[in-house]
Amino acid sequence: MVDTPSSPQEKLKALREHFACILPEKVARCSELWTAIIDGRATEDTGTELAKNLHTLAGSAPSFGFAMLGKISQRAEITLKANLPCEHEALERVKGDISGCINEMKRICEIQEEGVEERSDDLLALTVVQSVQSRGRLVFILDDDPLFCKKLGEQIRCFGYETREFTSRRGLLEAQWDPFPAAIIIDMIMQEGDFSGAEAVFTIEEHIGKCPPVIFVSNNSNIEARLEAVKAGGEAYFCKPVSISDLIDCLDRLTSEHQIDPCRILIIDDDVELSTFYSLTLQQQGMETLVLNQPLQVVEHLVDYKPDLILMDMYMPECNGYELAKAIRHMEAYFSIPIVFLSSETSVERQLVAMQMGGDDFLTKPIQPDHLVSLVAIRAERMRVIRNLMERDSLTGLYNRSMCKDHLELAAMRARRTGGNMAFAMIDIDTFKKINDTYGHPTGDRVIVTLARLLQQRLRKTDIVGRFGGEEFAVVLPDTNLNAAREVLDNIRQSFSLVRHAYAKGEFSVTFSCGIAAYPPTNISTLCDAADKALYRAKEGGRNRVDVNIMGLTATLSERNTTSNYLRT
Amino acid sequence: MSGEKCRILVVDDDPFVVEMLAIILEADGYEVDTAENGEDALAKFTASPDTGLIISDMNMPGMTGLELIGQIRAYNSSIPAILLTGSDDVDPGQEVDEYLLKDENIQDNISLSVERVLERHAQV
Repeated sequence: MVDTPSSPQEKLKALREHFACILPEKVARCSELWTAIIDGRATEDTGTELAKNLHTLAGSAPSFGFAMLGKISQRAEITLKANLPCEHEALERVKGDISGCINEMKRICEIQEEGVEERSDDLLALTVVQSVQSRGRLVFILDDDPLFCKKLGEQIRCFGYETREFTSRRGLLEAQWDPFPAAIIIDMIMQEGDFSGAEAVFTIEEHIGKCPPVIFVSNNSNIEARLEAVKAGGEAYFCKPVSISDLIDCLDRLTSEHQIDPCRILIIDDDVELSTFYSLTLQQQGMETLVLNQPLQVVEHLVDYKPDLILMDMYMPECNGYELAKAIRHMEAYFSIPIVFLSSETSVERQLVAMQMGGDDFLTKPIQPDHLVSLVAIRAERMRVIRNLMERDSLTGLYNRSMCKDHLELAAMRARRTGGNMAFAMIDIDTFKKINDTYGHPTGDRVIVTLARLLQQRLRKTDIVGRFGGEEFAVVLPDTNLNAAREVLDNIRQSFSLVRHAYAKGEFSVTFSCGIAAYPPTNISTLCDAADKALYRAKEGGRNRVDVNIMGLTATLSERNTTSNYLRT
Repeated sequence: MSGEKCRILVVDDDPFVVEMLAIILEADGYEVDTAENGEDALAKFTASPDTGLIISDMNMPGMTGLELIGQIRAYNSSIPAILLTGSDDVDPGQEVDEYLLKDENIQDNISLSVERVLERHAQV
């Protein structure tokens, strides 16, 4: 929990960054001194000065996360000191060793600097950031308390909205109303009176022509004020202190343009004309359809299309409906999918057999279009609900752990197939137990929901956000490299640390730590482990930070491979 | 943890290390004095004799950490001391209460180490 902007963690982070900045300079100085010794340009003090510089690096580099560089520096220092003054035979003896050490130190610095540069001109990072910004929707705030106005604006902006704050009705009316705001938040009680917020709505309608959806906030929760709000067309009414997650939920509902995905229906019938007829009938009612005229194609399409219901002819040339239904039910993920048979079969007994084989219902040809629609719609809708319960976390509505893993697997497969990128991030709320203990579990739950909303708001639609359990979240970012992912998540981290969470007696803020790993993954569990390790490092490094794990590259950067082999020689 | 936090003198010739330790210890609630070498440290110590703990680097230009601790103990024979070192092959012997490796874990270890030394000292 960070309460002031200059917390020890932030001070340490600034110090660490400063150190990283001047590290190349320090190493360059060592290299310069060493070159002078090799070239015979050294004075008496050169060796001592180099030893001192190496010693300082050996002492401080590890403390700031450059463990390997520290060890190499120490090795160089010890070798050098044992051979001072480093001349003639002594120089020849240690030349290769110390040169190797110093080159390795320079290389570590270069890798570290490249990392920084790559981040700044990474095009991918830009597109990701832009896509987040373009989703920014404008919200106006009208409240005569300037402090409340400003603070509320800051909070809402954390969730990817743009805001403009006004402290007087006049300022609001004189403002630029183009682009037109997606919503307006108005304080019910202002200087002009107890219901002046409601009056403001009428003034806006009069002067501007129309008023965007209104959310009222107020110190007063009595029924009169609430009724005034309703009369003024208010969409919602929040009492202060306003819970930011509830407010954002409401804003999302009012301003989001995306509609609920239509139900997807898979139609399997060898009769091309009939299946087209079913398909068009269902499409007219807003459903999505996919028609297969060859029943044996079903398996490959099931996985990609993820239907909510299967409509199937009972008698087809390659196989009959019973067998196909049974085969579909054998696939674990489709054990519960509704299957409706279509047939001219009128024998009740045969219909019963079809049900036993895994069908849910039976429609007899010729089929009434409205009959077809209502039967399909009800069952598909119910399947939606069941699937949501199975796949989503009940508190946040995010994907649950197993769905996350499924999506991770899909994204990894796609990256492998296309040779593209993908990143996987694990996020853990810092000192969450303390939040629960201090403010109570309901408040803790609200923090979790707030982070869930923030992630949904700020990530792209194609990114998969899930709750891994407890206070742990996972994000799958397809087509995203490590640096871009780091940039996006670090922005979100900063925003989250600025969000003020309300509890009975005041407000507090919370931070999270994040670990990211990226393609190429050898397999999913390696990728998860790598992200987990990076998360652990972020926690160890003082929390409220984002750490990355570039598998391959990290190995060269840190303890293992080449460098340690070098040290052992 | 005992009620009032004491004053700690941190000595290291690397200003980065000094600043880092100061940030951490101040966050833990201690008052922190810093010095960049033995002579400087002695001056600081004599100016604030209520100092309750010395944390010093071993290898510094001029006086070593052990020498510094020896000299400070001439004023206050019972003051606890933690020695910082870059390598683990130093044997600090009986002179210091604890020694601490300057490695990637120092940010976590320092607080624990200080707490442990002060607690042990309070019991004596």
